[in-house]
Amino acid sequence: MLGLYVHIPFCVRRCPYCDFAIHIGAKDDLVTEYVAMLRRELENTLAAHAQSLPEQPLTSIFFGGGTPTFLSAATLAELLQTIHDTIAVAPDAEISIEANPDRLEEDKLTALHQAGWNRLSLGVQSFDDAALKRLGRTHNAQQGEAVFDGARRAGFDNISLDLIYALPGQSRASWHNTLERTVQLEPEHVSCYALTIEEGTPFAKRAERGHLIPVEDDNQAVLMQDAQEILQAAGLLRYEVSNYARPGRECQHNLNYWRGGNYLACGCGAHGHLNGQRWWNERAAPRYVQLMQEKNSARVGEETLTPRQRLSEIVMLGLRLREGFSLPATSQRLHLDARHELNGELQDLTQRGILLEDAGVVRLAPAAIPVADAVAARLIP
Amino acid sequence: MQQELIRNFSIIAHIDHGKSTLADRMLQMTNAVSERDMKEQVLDSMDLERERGITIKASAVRLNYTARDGKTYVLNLIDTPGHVDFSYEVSRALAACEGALLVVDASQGVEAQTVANAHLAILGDLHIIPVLNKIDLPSADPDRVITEVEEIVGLPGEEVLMVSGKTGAGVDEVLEAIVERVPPPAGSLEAPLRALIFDSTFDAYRGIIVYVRLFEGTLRAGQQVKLMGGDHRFEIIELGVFRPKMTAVNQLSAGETGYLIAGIKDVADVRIGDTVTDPSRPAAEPLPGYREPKPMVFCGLYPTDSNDFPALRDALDKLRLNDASLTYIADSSPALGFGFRCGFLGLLHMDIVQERLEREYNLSLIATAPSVIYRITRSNGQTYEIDNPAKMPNPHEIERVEEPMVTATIIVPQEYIGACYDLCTERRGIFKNVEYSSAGGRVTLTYILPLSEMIMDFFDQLKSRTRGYASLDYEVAGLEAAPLVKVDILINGEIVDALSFICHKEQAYKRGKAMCEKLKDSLTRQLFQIRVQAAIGAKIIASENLSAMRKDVTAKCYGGDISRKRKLLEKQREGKKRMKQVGSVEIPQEAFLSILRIGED
Repeated sequence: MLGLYVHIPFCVRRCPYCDFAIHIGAKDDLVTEYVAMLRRELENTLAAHAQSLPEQPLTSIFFGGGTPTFLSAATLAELLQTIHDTIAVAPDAEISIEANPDRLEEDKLTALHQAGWNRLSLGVQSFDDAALKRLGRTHNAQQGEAVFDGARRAGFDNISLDLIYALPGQSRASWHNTLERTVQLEPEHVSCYALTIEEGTPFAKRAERGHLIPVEDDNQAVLMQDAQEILQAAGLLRYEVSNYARPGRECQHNLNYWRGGNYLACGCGAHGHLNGQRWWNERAAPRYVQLMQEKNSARVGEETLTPRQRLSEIVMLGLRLREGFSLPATSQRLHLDARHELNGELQDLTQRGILLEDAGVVRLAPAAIPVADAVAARLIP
Repeated sequence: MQQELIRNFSIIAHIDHGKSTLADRMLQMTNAVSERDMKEQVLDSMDLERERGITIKASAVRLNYTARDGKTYVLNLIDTPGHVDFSYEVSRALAACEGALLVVDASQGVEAQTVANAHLAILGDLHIIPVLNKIDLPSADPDRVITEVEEIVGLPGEEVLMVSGKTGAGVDEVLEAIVERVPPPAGSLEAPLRALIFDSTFDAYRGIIVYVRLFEGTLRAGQQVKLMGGDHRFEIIELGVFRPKMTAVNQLSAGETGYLIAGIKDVADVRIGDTVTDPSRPAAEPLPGYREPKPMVFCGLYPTDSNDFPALRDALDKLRLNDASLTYIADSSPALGFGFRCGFLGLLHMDIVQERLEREYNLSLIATAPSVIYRITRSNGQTYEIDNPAKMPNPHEIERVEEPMVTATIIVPQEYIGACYDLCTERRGIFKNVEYSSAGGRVTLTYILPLSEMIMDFFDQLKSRTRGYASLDYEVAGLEAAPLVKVDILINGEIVDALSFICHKEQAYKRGKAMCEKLKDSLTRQLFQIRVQAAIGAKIIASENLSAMRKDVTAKCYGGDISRKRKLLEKQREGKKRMKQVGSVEIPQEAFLSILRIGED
């Protein structure tokens, strides 16, 4: 498996909960330069990789943001074409793009589908207009549904909906309603994220002043459980802490992250990983452009993971997955004895029924999914 | 030196009655310290002493005073510790004197330790000069206080002097009274050497400094000495007096007070109350009154960081150089790791040692709840003492438990007598006596109380219930059998040894429940339910549940989040390593700290 992440940082406005690497109100010049530099980075990165490992095609491509659809369909198609021109892409590769429901015309969706995107991730966030307003979104519930239908007509047969829950002041009934409207649309995939108050965001400032009171963990757990029940009843199975899919429609690109796989990354703020080597690019779009122009690289940091750190990540991410992680496979991959490294805690947590182990595969008992981090903090070496 | 020109005296007082200020003023008026060197409370040399306004170690100063008769006298002022924990040290310091100034605050009046100290001085056959201090204050009420001195202490009112240590008023009269009223020492210069050790201190540069009062014979620099309580012989390296700086002299003779340095390595060799003699011409008998210091209060001290165990050992070794009454043996607790079981003279002593360890040696400590020594008689007739509740056997193996008692004297304005009765009754006190004084409506109450109740927070409670007006003194009063039980605290069925305590059967439920609630409140929720219980033997008497945590998971964990999240978990993991583990329940240090700190109310 080899993934590629491409970051498009532009947004019309910043949502008050967002702490991603995004750029608001970009002038046309910056957008043009960014696209040019992104193309250059794609060419450099992919060519280098194709040369060193020619037998390894890309198995997934993910255009994320920001708002990738801030760019025109033609520009996006050119970028995808650049990828195809530079490196082999597996015929069944999953090629995703993120989009927001506002200002998304059906013909743009058609163009994207025709250009080769086969998976669409829609940031609908909620089907409650009051909640959408509080989240600072510029679309309403109906627009969300309309864009979904448009995407279907445009040819997308693999659509994911992003939802946010545990909004301050949101009722459990409102969350149920959002889940039910989601189910009615029959998407292939749903991501449910508990609202996280990230440092430095307007929400964090409101929380500091006491104008926003985060939903208590115990109540969040109830909402999380509600999502699981309603979505699973509709055939969307929970395959990761926050992700649900019809069997076979799990996001391949993200699964590769969670299995500790290899992925290349281009664009500002993007993180890549190859066999324990991780690197990341400059976060701010203008500086990214400048670095690319001056140095032909925007890489600003890297780390080499020790086998133990890699084990920690595999454990931490594996616990979030329904499939868990395999002790023998991990041992072989990292050249260590994973069971020995995790010993005391592994045994204790298994005895308590918090972890399940079957033929060397360790996974979290379903009831313990909401406390995956606490389990990971105990288990990692 | 002519003995008729020497006066050895000490100053005794209740805490805060101005003893040190008066001493400083006397030093100044006899030119022992210059105006320039005068800092408040010259005699209290430790930071802690100056801060708390109490004297922990005794101290001795030589003053030269030219009296109205034209002769110049040597006045040796021996300062004494002002707290009940150190009453033995007070008695030894008093034994080095022929007279004492009894300082009483002219507003506060006679307090419990005024009486206790006066009794010690009377027992030691000292001439007492009653001194009313702080007469410059508007609240001073000399008439009432003089009546109290007559009625409560039993000293003639016409002998009372009026002074102000602050302004210096009347202090010359005090100096004159010392010369006139305190008898000069009267030991034979020719008899075999007998010198009383009334204190010792450790100086990093000069080693152990022994404070002595010569009763008979002569001491010369360079001579051999023997401490009669043991077999050790030492050669005197330096002999001297305090002016108040240490000043070497060639000899000291009967009646004089000073210090000796003799290359003594272990402070345990120098026991307060022991007698120094000349091995070539030894005295037949040591001076009377020597007693082994006996710790009364015990607690476990554990470093919060287990790596600090050697540092704690070093710090205790060093502290003991100045404080032979501190005892400690290495101990280990499954819950708290390696530490020491320490013995103290009393609660204040315990506080001071803990504070010095934390402040002077930069240690962060967990102290278990203070305990006393219990005498256990087992069903098979075997008898032994325990100073740690964890060592108490199972209830069915116990025939009898005896606990140490104290006689407590409380002096309090009459309107608070009810509050004192209530408190003493709550603390299993047995009423002994009540005496009323005719002036000012103050009452002297006497109760027999278990020491264990006394060391909880008795004094704080007494102070708060009497608005600070009550004063307290106590002395040991033997052992008494009582229906005492050990209460264990369990977390998910496992005993947390550090939290076990011994209490009266009838209070077991209340205290056990309070402890469970506190422990529950200071624990964070974990992956599974936590059951906190209190038990006597196998019988559960109280129980609390802490439900499992419901949610602890990051919503998003994609490419850019992974490193960040891993680092966070690694940090959390490191934090857990510092937690104390009981079974599989992690107990943060803070939980122990908060429980043990408030475990007293």
